[in-house]
Amino acid sequence: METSTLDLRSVLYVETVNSNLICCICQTPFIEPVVVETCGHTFCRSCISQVLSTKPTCPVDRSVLSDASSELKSASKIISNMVNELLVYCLNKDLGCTYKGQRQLINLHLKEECKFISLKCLNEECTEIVMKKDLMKHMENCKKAICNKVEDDKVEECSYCNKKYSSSLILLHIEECPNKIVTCLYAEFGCSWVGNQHELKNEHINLCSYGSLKNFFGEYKQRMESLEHENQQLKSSVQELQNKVQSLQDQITEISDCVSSSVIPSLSSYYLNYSNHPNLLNPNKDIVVETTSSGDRRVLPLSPPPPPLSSISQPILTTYELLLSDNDHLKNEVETLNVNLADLELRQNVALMTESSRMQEELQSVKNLCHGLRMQMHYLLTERRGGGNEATTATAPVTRTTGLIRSNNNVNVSIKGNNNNNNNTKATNGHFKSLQKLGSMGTDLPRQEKL
Amino acid sequence: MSMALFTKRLAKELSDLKINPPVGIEIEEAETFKSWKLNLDGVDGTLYAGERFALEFRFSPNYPMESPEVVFVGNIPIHPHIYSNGHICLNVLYNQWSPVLSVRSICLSIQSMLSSCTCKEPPPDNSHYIRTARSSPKLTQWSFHDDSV
Repeated sequence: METSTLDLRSVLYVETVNSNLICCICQTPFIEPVVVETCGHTFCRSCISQVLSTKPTCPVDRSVLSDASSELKSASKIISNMVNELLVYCLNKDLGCTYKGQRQLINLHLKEECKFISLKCLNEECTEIVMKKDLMKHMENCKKAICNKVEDDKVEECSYCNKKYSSSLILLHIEECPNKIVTCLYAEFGCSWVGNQHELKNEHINLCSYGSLKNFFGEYKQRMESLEHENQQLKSSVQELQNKVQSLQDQITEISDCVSSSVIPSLSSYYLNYSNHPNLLNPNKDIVVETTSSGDRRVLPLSPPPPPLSSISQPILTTYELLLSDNDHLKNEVETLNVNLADLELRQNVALMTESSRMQEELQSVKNLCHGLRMQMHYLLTERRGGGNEATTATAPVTRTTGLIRSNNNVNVSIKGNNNNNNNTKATNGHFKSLQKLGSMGTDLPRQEKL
Repeated sequence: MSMALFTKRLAKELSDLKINPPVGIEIEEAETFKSWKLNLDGVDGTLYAGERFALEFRFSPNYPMESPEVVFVGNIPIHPHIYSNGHICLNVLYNQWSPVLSVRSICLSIQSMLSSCTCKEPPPDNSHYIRTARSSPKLTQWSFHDDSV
């Protein structure tokens, strides 16, 4: 990047440079930074190549670099940008140049702008070296030049002061000619003064009322520039957003085209089939419920008559309508089902009630029967054993429904024991059998009774 | 270019040493870029506390690619790695020199070498060495064996 012969190591930096940007060989900010691949250390290209030509190791960590030339890679862009953008003073600062700017632009400044750069007098015979700003003055006085040059060089006349100059000097002269017509330095702020350069420098610039306001104007100019910049950015972002919207719109159009070309034909064929069905002749009715003799219900969806094929020009709308009517059909169906369900529930409840009341009655009768049996048993036992044991047997703990089955077993045993001896038991035999079944069948009690 | 690097770097080091001098190090004389003299103070709390020594640096135009010649002059410290003719046995001055080292870093190395000394005695081969050594320590074949300093 730094192609000129200018040695950037001599420049003076405006601010203290971050120590990470300093080459540890020359101890100045990197010039053409390169990085050593093996260890990652960064140096100026010229510094490290000089070191590597004597000793193939990294100067920082002494790691051995086998193939020194291939080890060096340009450092990342960010590092070279950071060092190239460091602010430096002009090399002619000591001579009076007040320029400050990025390091990468210093060459340009020295070549084009700097008035303090030393130049050799354009006359070959003159050996004096003068600063660019003084060159013109010198050339005017350089007598040799005028006599020599005017003869063999083309002569041009300055349009402002009518003096004659060789063509090689005319441009340099015009720039500085005191008679040159110029506008005020603060013309951009609104000063309308126009006059020759000499007057501007000596008189007007001191009087110009815009001069005292230059800081004010400068500030506003800067602010305006930043606003303009921001505006530009906003414009570009708006443009970007517009493009996005446009592309989205295009996509939507594409999608709706697709839908109209693929979905609508199939839908319209669907409708054509249905319109042939005899039940669908009445378009105002949405649902037809057919109740068959067996009780099941069939619900037939009924759609509005199919749109004429010519109306496909509004494909999306038609699709929506279709969906809406389908939805209505489904709602109606659900309602019908709900009514059916409620009906069934009611019937179920009634059946359950009847059944359970019957069962309760049967249970009651069985209880009574049981009680009778117990009394009989009690009587028989008391009679057989006589007066001595009477008290203990009377207290047999037979109570209520849970005790029922157990007491049945007791009864069973006792009855078997007594079966042969006692004729009176015959009378209760029929009941006993049914009780035995009650004990073994459990919950089937009501049916057994029914049989 | 090499010449330019040499002078610019030394100028930079000099201004840096003047602006921000390390503790116990002082520039005695640095008129040219050929040789400088620096004063080195013994660090408090070490065997050399209160003593002042002078170091002479001689730079070749290849500096910093090549190490400078560094010797003690005048009052020479008694130290197992410093010969009585002022030559210093320190690897970074010879084969371990690197261009990233500087006058400042060498001064600090020598200061630390002095500070870590536990016994003030000359090198064992001192009398032989000073009879045979040439004027520049860089011409000596050094062998470095003591890693403790």
